[in-house]
Amino acid sequence: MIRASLACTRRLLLQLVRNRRELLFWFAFPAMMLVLFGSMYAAPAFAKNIPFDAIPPGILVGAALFFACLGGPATAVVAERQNGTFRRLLLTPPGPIAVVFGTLGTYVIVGVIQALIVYGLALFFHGNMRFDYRLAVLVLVLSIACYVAAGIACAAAFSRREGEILAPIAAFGVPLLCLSGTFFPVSIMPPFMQRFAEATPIYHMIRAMTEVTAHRASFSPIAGDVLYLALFALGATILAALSYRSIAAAERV
Amino acid sequence: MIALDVRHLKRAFGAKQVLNDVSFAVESGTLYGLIGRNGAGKTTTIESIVGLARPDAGTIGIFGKAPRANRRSIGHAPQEIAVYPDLTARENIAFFADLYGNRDPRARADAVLAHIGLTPHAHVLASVLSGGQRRLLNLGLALAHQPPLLILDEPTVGLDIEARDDVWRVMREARANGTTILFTTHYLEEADRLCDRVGILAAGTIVAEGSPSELKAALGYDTVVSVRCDDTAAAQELLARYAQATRSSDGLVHAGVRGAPAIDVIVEWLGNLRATSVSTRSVSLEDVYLNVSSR
Repeated sequence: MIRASLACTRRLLLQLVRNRRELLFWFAFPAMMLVLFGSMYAAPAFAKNIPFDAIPPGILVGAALFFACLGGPATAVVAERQNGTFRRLLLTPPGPIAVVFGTLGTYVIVGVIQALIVYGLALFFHGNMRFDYRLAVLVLVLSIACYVAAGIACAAAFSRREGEILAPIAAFGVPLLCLSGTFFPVSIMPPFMQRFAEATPIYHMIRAMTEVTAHRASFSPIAGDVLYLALFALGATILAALSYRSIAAAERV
Repeated sequence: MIALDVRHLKRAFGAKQVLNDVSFAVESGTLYGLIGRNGAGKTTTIESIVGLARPDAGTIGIFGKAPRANRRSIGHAPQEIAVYPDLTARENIAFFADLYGNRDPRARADAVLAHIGLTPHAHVLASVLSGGQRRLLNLGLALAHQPPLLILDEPTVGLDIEARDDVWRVMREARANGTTILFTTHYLEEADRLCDRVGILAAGTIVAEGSPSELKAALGYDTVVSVRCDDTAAAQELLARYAQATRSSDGLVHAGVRGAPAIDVIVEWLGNLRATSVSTRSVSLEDVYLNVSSR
């Protein structure tokens, strides 16, 4: 199983490297967003309320990981179905679970590189890099697990063709990003929206990452967020495995 | 030893009974061809065997075990080419060899590439390969884990003669190495040339089975005379006096006869029927197929 998952990870990374435009987008997009929001929040109207350190978590979790780690796996699964290799994989001994873990492995690597880019740029823009890296990695990996699992579940639920997957992700995902504090702090939203935001995983990803990286928090203040994300990741992974099995059942005529 | 044993396979899609009691067995180390027209149920049979379709009834044994328990024994090349377009030929094969637990996937990929004749294209992306090369790669992925049973669905469909010959060579070499092969085709000449045994699938069941020579011998004639003339009904009536079987198509009357007719008989036909051409040929699997599928 581990070997098969690693084989899937290697294969997906190789495909990503070959698809340079997609790769460039995934790495350039968060950098652009960081520069954009960094410049915006540097304006006097914002600057007194929001320190620069509060910006990278939202950009990383909302703009970078969301599109790469949710959209990427979803597109990969749909492409696999479209080019017929999904059915081929069904006949191999490791089966679908190895593919789920292989996909997770790939996007953990992609997510870590995105985090390095975002926080590297943040450092360049006078951000603070003195925080507990282990906690940051924990939140990052949990966030990626949530996204990857949700992406696979989305692929099963919404589409058979590559072009079809982007519309539902944009339709559900972008409003969720706005609500969760990716672009604007949740604190400026009306109370009912804040309550809704608190129920979403993206809110907890951003909050935990902000606490760890901007407020140099220890584990205690983010324990609730970590627990929420761990449970969500577990639930979403189970859902992803079930979804993957449902795709497999649909492919078995 | 029986490599593949299919018994009483049934499958319906809605009201349409696609497989209706399909039974056949494939001896180890032989090449078995499943032939039939489009929609005869060949792909459903193949997919039931490999586990991609669920039969409503029937049993399948692969080297005496259920297919699920014997996945590693099967190499399957689907009719639709299923490869990763953004990986090279070598990377595609190595990936599947890796999934099957091969200790040195790259070395295995090189061996498969040599076998299928794609070594010069090992580092070419699958998306850039020609149609024939992609189909060979599709076959190569099925060989990645050295399966003792190879199941190929229409492996030569849409290929030019050279690419088809390459696929035939790979199949023959695999058989020579002891691999059992089941493949589907609607090219009867292909089945005639390659197969040790053939099963003809029509109306969801095997209507004839045997070696190509056995099936041809069972027709009761060894030569087919084809006469082209204006009055095909008269020609059919005349030839029926000499022939074991007659049929007409596209202005031609075909008659199955024992032994090539003497030249004076042919001259008589030409005269009586005002025929524009008379030709003779040895009986083929096409005659067998037309005979059994028209019953």
